[in-house]
Amino acid sequence: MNAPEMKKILLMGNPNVGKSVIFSRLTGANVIVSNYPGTTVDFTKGIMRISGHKAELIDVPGVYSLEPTNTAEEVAVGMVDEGDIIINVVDATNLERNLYQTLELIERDIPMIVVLNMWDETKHSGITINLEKLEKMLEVPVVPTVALTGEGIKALQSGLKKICTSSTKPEIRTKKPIKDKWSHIGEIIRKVQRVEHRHHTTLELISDFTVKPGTGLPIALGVMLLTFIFIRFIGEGLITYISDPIFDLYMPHATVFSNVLSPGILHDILIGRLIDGQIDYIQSMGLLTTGLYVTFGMVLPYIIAFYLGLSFIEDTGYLPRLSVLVDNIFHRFGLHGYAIVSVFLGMGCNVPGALSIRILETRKMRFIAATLLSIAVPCMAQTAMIFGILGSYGIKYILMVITALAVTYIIMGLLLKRIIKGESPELFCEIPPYHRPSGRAVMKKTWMRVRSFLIEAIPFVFLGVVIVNILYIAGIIDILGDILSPVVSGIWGLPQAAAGALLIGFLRKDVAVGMLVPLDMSPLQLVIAVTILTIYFPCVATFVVLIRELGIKDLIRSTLLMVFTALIIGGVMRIILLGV
Amino acid sequence: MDLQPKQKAKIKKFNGGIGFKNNLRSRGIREGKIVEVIARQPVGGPIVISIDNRKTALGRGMAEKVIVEVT
Repeated sequence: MNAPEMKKILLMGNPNVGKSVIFSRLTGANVIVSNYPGTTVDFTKGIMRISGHKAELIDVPGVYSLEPTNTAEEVAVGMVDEGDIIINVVDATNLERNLYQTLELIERDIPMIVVLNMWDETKHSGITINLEKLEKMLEVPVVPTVALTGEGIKALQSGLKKICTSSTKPEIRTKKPIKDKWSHIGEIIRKVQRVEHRHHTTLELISDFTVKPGTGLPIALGVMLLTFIFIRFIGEGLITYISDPIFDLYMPHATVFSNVLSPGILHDILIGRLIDGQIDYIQSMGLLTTGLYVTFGMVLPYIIAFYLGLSFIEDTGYLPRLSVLVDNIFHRFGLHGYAIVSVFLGMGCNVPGALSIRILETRKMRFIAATLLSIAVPCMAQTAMIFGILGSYGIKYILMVITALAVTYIIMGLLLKRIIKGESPELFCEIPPYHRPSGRAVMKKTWMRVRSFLIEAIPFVFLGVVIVNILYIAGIIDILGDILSPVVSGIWGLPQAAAGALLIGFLRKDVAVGMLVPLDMSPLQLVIAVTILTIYFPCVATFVVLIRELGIKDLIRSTLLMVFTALIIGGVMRIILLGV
Repeated sequence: MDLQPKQKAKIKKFNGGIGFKNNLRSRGIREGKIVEVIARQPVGGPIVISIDNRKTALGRGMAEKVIVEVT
């Protein structure tokens, strides 16, 4: 090393052992952690300090061994040799399996420290581990931790300090690679670990009930229904008792401001058009009216509600169990049960949903999962707008949209499985033990996600609102409406001005749904319009992620599929719902 | 592995390539381990097994390549 370069420290280990929690502890940075394998699909970098010196800490996606089986794992394995120090995080309750990778990593001759995480759980499971003996046999320092509470993190930090100060050169091991790692592990386990037999705990009994088909499927339906009711209840509650009263208070101020501004471009952009001489939060399309109201008054309450529910479910460890129960269904779409994770994340925002397809093993599966996600899974921002606008006509219209999207998902899944070449391997996933989620952790995770919604969504909502105004003023929406009229009116039976919403939908789908309101459509036409708005194209943020995840060629294919699906489904819905 | 729920057996060997074997082993499914079937999903769906009190779900096709000996 010539310049005083920052040392690179890698956090590595099996999936779902708590690497990201340790990362948060060491760097103070917040990252999303959950109780299922594959939460971290990309490496996260952060800065930590070791005795005053800065070092770069990298949270590497979990792998079971250094032979990758999917893209997320390839990323991880490719990182190994770049590290100056490796922190190998090991699940203390599952030492035997985890040690395989530990031995693989030791062979790489990079200074290493082994962290036995979830140390507290060993007591509950009747496991005792002799740390000194383990250290001796592995010939690397071993530190027990409970990352969730912060226990042992100090010891880890001083362990890292020792490695950094001991020598600049990594010590050269003379040991030959161990040929039969498993029998070596067997020997280590015999010498360092004792397991007492324990009776099944209540959580373990629940665990069994939730994966058996007879009891698991009714429980799954119950959980889904409860989650839906919870989200609707919290979302509507926040709107009725918090956001609507605030916007009622704000209305007179906005009106005063509107009167002060003389009519003109500035008024159009900030306040928007007046409906019957009044500001209309949904229809005016001004930055300070619709822009604020859509974001904070309609979408944010549902974002909070959804992420509270999702974060809770994620932390329990229920998702892998659900993936087992739905595996059969997803197989018919050329996927396997774990694809349910991308659907769940996608219902919040399609961007994390699209990132999560990395845990799927083959190109075929990733293509199908990404295409189905973009076609038929509306994000919560859009869903909230659908609830807000169609909900006033009656719940049956919302159900129509959900049914249309579900049917589209199924039909496209069945088709894609046959059309797309490639392999679809079977489900193979670990089922982590259930955890009682901590209220603090759930709140923290919800806040992190809500914050990133605010940071990432608000600029686009505002940009969308400004562009809508410019397009109206320049008359582009009318021109576009004329051009697309054969499709929008001819095939879908919608007013041709709905074309404007399709254009803005590329930026923000929530704003686009709002643009449909002033068009005087019947509730059934609205049902068709919002369904098409979901199917026809992903928003720009998702699009950018998909370029990276699928490659440009596959994304073009996927996009063509979306456009065709929108044409056909919209046409069919018109015939069924409007009868013409 | 053709076991009914609650049945236990010892894993004897795997019928498959080296990649397949190592993939299973790295997840704790190894020769000599005692395996218990927790649940079987209907119509050829995945099974959930327990080894050393850790649960893993695997597809029926994979499970069929795991040869066990009922104890």
